[in-house]
Amino acid sequence: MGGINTYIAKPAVRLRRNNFRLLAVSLACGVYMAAAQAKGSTEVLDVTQRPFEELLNTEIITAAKLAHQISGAASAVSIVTAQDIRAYGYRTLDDILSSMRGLHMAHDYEYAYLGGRGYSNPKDYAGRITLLIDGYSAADSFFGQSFFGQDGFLDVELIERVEYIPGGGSSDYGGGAFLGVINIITKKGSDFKGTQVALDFASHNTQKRRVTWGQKYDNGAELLLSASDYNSDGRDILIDPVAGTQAKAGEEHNQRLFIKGSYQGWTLTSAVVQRPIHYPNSPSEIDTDTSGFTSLKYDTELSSKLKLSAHAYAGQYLFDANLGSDSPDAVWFSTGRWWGLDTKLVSTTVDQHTLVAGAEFRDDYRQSYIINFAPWYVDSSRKTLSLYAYDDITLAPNVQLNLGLRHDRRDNDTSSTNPRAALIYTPWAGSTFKLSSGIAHRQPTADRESEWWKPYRIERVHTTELVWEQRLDQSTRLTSSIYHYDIDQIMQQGPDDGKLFTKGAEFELERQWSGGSQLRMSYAWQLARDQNDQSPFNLPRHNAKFNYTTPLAGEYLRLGMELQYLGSRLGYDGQEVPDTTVANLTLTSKNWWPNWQLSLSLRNAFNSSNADVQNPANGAPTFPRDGRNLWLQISRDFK
Amino acid sequence: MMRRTFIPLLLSLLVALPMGLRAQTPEAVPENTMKAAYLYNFALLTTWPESASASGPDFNLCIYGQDEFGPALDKLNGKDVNGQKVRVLRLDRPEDALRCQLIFISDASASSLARLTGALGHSPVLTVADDKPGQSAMISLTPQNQRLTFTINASATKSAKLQLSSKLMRLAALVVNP
Repeated sequence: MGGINTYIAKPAVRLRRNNFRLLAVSLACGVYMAAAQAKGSTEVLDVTQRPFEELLNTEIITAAKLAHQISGAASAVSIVTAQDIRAYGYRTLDDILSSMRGLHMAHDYEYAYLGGRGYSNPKDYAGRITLLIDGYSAADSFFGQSFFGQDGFLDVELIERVEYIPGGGSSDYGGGAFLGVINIITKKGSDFKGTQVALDFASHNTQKRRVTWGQKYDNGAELLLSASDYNSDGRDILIDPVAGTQAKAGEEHNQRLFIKGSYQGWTLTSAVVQRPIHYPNSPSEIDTDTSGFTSLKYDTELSSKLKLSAHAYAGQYLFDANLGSDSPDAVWFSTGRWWGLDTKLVSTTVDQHTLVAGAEFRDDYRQSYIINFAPWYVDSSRKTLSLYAYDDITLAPNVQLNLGLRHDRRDNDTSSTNPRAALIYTPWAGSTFKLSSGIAHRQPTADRESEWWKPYRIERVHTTELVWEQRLDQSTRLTSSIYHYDIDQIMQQGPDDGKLFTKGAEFELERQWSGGSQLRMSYAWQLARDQNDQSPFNLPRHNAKFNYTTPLAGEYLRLGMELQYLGSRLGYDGQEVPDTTVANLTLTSKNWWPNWQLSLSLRNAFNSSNADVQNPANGAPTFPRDGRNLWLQISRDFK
Repeated sequence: MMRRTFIPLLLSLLVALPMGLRAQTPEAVPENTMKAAYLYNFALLTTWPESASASGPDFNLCIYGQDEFGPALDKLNGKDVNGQKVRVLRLDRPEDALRCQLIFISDASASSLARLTGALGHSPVLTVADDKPGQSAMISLTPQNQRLTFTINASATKSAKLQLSSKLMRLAALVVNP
């Protein structure tokens, strides 16, 4: 223990001082840049006098708009758009989520784990949030895991926007959406209109290749095809500072395929990803995650006030651990296979009401687990029938009431009913208050179910949140939120199955300038306590982000800078892991040479030392993160 | 060594950048000003059925949702559209949309969009919006290669009995008949 202590205590002193200076200098820089931009011209030209043909050929200064949420959720939603992904050089969903208010990621060089309001357990396989890709719930059915790194379904270049909706989402998305929902909307064929080829080179001998083709036809049909692969040699990390043990970490390869087509009301989406990775704790072990899904949607208008939406899907997940010893039996597989059908009606026939009613049936017909060297075999299945209804009621022009209810009935007697209600009030132009409350649940995963000797419970959370959105002017938005979550019967990895109380406050300021610059800064504070008044591990009290992007030469050259401050948090050994600030810088160039795009990122630019809290299963309280590293992407459009 | 020179270099670069290097063509027009001008041109190049245009001396050009235009849109007030005077209206109730000839739907949530299109039905109101997932306006605007392009949903304009001039159809980047 003493050894571990000196390992983390030393950098702590240096870090704190550095952090403060870094943050102060960067903030000053940002404010200065903001002021310099604000002076820009605001003159209004009377362009209505010019012929329309001429206007079509006149260059515009793009207004980088404050993104507006698409989902109707009443909680404080965070949004990252395709422009942000480019401007800040995000490579994975992990990078995207890391930039959002109140979120942080932990890594064990196998998977990336998301931490947010009231959850932070690395090795939890992101089992307390739901990841949606164009409405398809992308978690596997065995571990309930959503993948955020190179193991995830999507190349970020295919993402149009990502919304993170904190809070319980069971009333909308069922049992997985316990503490949050990540909603990804992918691009369409018309976003490419031709072929795009991209080559990436990055530190640790990392390369990526991608080809994407997209088209939109005169009859309205759109098609998008994309394939990519990724190879990284990884790096050596110190996993046990006491014994001085080094391990190779992050040696991984992946291959991805993505298809999306739409015609009239039909949309077909299909994706496959396979990623083998060397497990850092046992160098000869190779873990392979393979995921795939196909989703077919049909939307139609039955009348001008009645819409029908139907969604059929099927998915498969395979986990294959080859323990790499001499024995051929040293393998272990987990398999999940499922399909489902979801149909709903959206009606605006009753004045002042938008009514939604629907039913979903899901069959998880294969949930198996095989260990050959033990030997051990478990297989289970689960059928779920869900009924749901929502009503968005306009009580007055500036007052809206949203109600929702979903009932999930399972054949293993773990049914649950989850309500939500929200009141949205706009007292005067520019100010919106949203008060929401709801109950969500989480069904134990098949993985947990297979450990039959442990208590088996449905977790429940009651969430309450008050959001105040204030437009300070047309291009400035201030979002504030206070919330309170009560989790009951939470199943941690340890023996303590108990309660967790979380309260917190978040603030975010977003500003855009007509020249195309954009600023986003946020601060999140949270306090979580379990039934023994202990703080859960890896849950930072303070979390702050700063993002600024500006064009340097029109859209030909753009700078994106990002700072992420993560407050100190506890390791599983009860030791405090020091706070850290990481800076990332990205330069992007678009059409400097026609059809060529370049992106260069310097990540962890100031080489801050920085560690990720680990789960006890990994044998060390923390693993070090990467120091300064580079990433370059060259892409070319063929139209 | 590397670290000592690196940080000042980077910082001075960051501070210097916004001062110079801005190379925007002088004639470039802010997007919102351009959008307002497009709305005006859409109004000029569309024929409303008799019932709609006979409603009064005013041409009600509306904006629904968050107003991003600012003064750019107000500049259209009082301009002539085929004998009617433009009146810019800012709405927040979907029912009011029936008073408009043309409505620009600003960034809005899916449910408020559904309410608006539900309230409109097949009424002769020309709907315009930014091209975004989930929106279903008759004309959608897309910035492309630093120009503003637009797509026309011909079946939607047809069922609303709006007649778009051949010039407007020709200038569209795409005309779809879903």
